[in-house]
Amino acid sequence: MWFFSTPQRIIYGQDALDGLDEITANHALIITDETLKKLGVIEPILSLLDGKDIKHTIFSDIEPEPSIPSAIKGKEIAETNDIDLIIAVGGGSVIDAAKAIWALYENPEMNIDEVFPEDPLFLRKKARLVTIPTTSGTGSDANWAIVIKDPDTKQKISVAHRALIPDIDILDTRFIKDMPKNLAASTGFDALTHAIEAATVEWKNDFSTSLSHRSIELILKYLSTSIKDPGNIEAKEKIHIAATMAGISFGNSQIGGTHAIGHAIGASFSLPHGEVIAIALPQMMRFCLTNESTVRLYSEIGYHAKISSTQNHTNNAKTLIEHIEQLRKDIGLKTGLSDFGITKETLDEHMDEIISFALSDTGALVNPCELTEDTIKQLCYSML
Amino acid sequence: MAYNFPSNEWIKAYKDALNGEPGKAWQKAAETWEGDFLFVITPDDTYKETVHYYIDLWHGECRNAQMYSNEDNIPEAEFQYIGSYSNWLKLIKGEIDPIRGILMRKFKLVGNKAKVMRATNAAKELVATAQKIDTNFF
Repeated sequence: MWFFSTPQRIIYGQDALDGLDEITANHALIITDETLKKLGVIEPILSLLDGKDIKHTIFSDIEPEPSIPSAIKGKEIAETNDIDLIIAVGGGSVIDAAKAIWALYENPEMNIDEVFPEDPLFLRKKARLVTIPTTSGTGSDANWAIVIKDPDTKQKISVAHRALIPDIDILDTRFIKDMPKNLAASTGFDALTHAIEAATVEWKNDFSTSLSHRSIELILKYLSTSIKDPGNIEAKEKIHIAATMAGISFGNSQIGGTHAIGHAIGASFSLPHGEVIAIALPQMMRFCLTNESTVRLYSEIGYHAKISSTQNHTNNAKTLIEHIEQLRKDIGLKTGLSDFGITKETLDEHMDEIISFALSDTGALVNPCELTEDTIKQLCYSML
Repeated sequence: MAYNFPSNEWIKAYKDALNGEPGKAWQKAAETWEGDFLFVITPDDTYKETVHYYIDLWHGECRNAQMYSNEDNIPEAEFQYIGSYSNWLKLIKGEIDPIRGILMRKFKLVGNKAKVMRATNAAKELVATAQKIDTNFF
């Protein structure tokens, strides 16, 4: 038995925000970050709520790596204002924080790390959750996971529950058309990695694989254009949709070793997630070329993405990796940890922590190729 | 020699494996772990009895491992991992992993789940060590 879960409604395309017209509420909590607030990104949402006489409060203290204390602060604001609608406007950090705030608001006696898939989690008695992603993207807008930092241990905690899947997900290109190029590149690459891992880890399934294949095809076709030609709204919309598809895919499968190592290095050095993932993905894929069944899966991905057509699975897999590396170069992403000023010596100083974080990540458990202390170390060095 | 699963001989062999060469990877993965388990094997079409395995794990050492087939005198444990005989068979054979087993509702985990979820590698190695025991299944 397995499950397939998605948001109750995904509204996409031009003027998707207008789909919120049907919503009724008394008091909305807008969760965003200071940058988006200052840029006026939330203004269309505030106007819509004003037009419907829905009161609103804004909580914009979300850090780039959301933390448990921020979620507790947001929960307290929700309680003070008797919130019945939560609208998350932002990237993955904002959306994960919003889910955590929602969970704590409706389960005030609970700690966030107590969220567990098969335990009861009471939601929708006080509020519903709408997500409006401003990156393309982490996929958090469409799945059941929260990644949040525990500042005491520095570790990123991943928790999940199907009830956390947002009620409505709005994919409106007005919120992504001015995304900075580097952000578009790193979040697009994160989406690509979600899709590839979801289709190749041990929890893969037919529903996830089909979404992954289409997502990968769209990203490989449109990501470079969406960044180099920022006025190309069609390309941006395709990537926005592909990122949500990838989010649904891995939400119903799992992330893998690339994310396990990415989370670990990112937490240990405080590096941006998407940029670390972009360095890790090709290295992990090359590592997994030792696994024949994974080679076949990469070959299938390449076939569905229309970048390879020969019968030689190994060549197809290598072509896919080369394609990904070229894409990474085209969109200007870093290719090594040394680009962050990290040396082998500093990597060695953090290695015990990285290995510990990576091996305790669920992504390591389901990676198609086994991760051990030694292989993680070698992968980290290969990422320099 | 092969050990019947479940049996007292099997759990003793498991303890020896965890503390010996076969359990080296688990010993490393569990070097900070503190907590005891009741592995509960519930009856199904293949095996008709309930069996409790008590196992005490402490900083990479299995300090105690006992089988209880009587409801009396079963010690309390910090965690319980509960599943039918057939599902335990699949777990030990590697057909499902311990975390997915919970998500698939083939196993139930009782206890502080956050603590277990931060030790998924140790959980994986517990299963991997069990797979190294020469086992007769019913």
